[in-house]
Amino acid sequence: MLNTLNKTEGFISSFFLGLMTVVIIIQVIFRYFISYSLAWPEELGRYLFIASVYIGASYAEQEERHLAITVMRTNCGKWCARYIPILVQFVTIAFSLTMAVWGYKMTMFMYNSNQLAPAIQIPMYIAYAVIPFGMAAMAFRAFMNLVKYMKTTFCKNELTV
Amino acid sequence: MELPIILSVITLVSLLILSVPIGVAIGSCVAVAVISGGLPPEFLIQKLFTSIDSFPLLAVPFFILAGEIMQKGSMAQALLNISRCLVGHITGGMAHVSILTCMFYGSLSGSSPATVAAVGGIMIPAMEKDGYDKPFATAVNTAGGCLGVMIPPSVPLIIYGTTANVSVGDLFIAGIIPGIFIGILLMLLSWFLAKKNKYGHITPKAPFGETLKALNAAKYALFVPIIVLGGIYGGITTPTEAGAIAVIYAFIVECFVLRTLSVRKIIDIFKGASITNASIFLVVATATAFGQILLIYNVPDVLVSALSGLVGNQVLLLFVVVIFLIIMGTFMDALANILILTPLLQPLLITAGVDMTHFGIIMIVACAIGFLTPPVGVNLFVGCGISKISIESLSYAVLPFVGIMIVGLFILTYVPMISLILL
Repeated sequence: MLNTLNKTEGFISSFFLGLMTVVIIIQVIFRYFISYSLAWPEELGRYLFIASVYIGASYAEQEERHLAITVMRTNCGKWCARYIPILVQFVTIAFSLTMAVWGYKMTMFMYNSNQLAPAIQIPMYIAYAVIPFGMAAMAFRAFMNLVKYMKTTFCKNELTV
Repeated sequence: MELPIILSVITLVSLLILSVPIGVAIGSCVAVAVISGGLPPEFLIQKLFTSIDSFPLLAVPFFILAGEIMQKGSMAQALLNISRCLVGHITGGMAHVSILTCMFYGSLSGSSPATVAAVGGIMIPAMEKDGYDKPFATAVNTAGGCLGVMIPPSVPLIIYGTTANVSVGDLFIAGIIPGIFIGILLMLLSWFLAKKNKYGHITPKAPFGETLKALNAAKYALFVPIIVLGGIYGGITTPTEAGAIAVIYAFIVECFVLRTLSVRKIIDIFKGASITNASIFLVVATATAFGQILLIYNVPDVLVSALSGLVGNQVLLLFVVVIFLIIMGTFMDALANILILTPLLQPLLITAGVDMTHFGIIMIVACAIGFLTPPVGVNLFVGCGISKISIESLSYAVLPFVGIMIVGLFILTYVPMISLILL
């Protein structure tokens, strides 16, 4: 169960990326071999891409692969190397939780406006919902990282004391 | 300057210094500006959505995927063999092989650190074995990796094109000659350094038959730029579609023709690409939102009026802008720089009559120089990771290459023909 949960975002994000490739290829094939322009692949491709990015953001947090400028963390002694990661997780949790809440508000706003995507005719709130979902998951992954760093930092301290 | 701008810039700088992920740092700084400036919170969410809701941007994940497939497959090695046959016999042969392979690989890959990893991973140990100084070998490959973003396809050029509203296809075509030009400059410098320090052995020129054989082995890899650039140049595909075709092509060739990919490897490729993609676009989305905040508070106008004396003098204006870009490049991430600085500088440059496609090339070369300079130089980190030397000794060894690239940048800046002749 926990094992499956651990792979969720990675799987969804990769799957959307693959699906996006297929969708765009269908567009190219239809345009050049069947001479018929489809309207939906471009739009569907863009929404899959956005979903892949925000779900993937949580996956990148889980694997700690977000782009960061780590000069301070790696070059300023033991104290920095130990406590900066903890501080970073706190900032990440605060940011992604805020984005999840604001994203939820925005999604509800879209829900009430009944707007539909022009080509694929799905409600727009579904497209926007990936932001609160992805950001909430990212907050959760950052929290798990925080727990991990807290454990290593403070358990070590106890041992040395 | 108004208070929200000052608060958000302070937030941004302090969070970046504290090693907070760049996307989170820029996002938090926008959130601070939204709260302190009384803007609706929906503004930020809408920007997070709309700033990456763009069809040209989809080219980025495609070229990342294609790059991952070719890196895990066997195409990099094939390109290396053909380079060895072509330039291996010149003084400092292995250095030229590295740079030429980076040029070939750059036409498959759109990322600079990925090029360093793919080419340097093979060439740095090989050069060391051949009697090259380790820092020199690493420096050649980290500098050569910059060609990955100059020679199309190029992730930063796609991002620049969508920010500045310039055709990505035009930018790709414009990047070809400047990329080759910088590559030749790097080769000249390594020839000179190898001669001075007596690096490497003189190897005989490869017989013609062997070159043909290597060319045959590399034919699948060399076909990628033909599909991508041919499709774009011939007006058959958009850059995004060309990217999707490159993914399918690389996938079919590596899976079914060369049989280098297992199911395990394919899963790794998709997972790796989705992480790279997400980490890039979290920065892109938040940096675009930050650019909008700067626009709302009229920062570009302030900049234009501050530099209005320079607008009449294009030569001096470009000089100031290029120096500014190089300095910013040393401290900031390339994509964030492109997204934040382009809208700031664009009104100024357009009034001064600078071609925005030409400026794209200037921007990308300046960013590439930033990849090579500490404290924030991604190529340096990858290079150090491969050869296990310290950042300090690599930064020192790479200095001559940074110098020649700055010279090249100024030539490209003042001779727009080099970039624009193919258009």
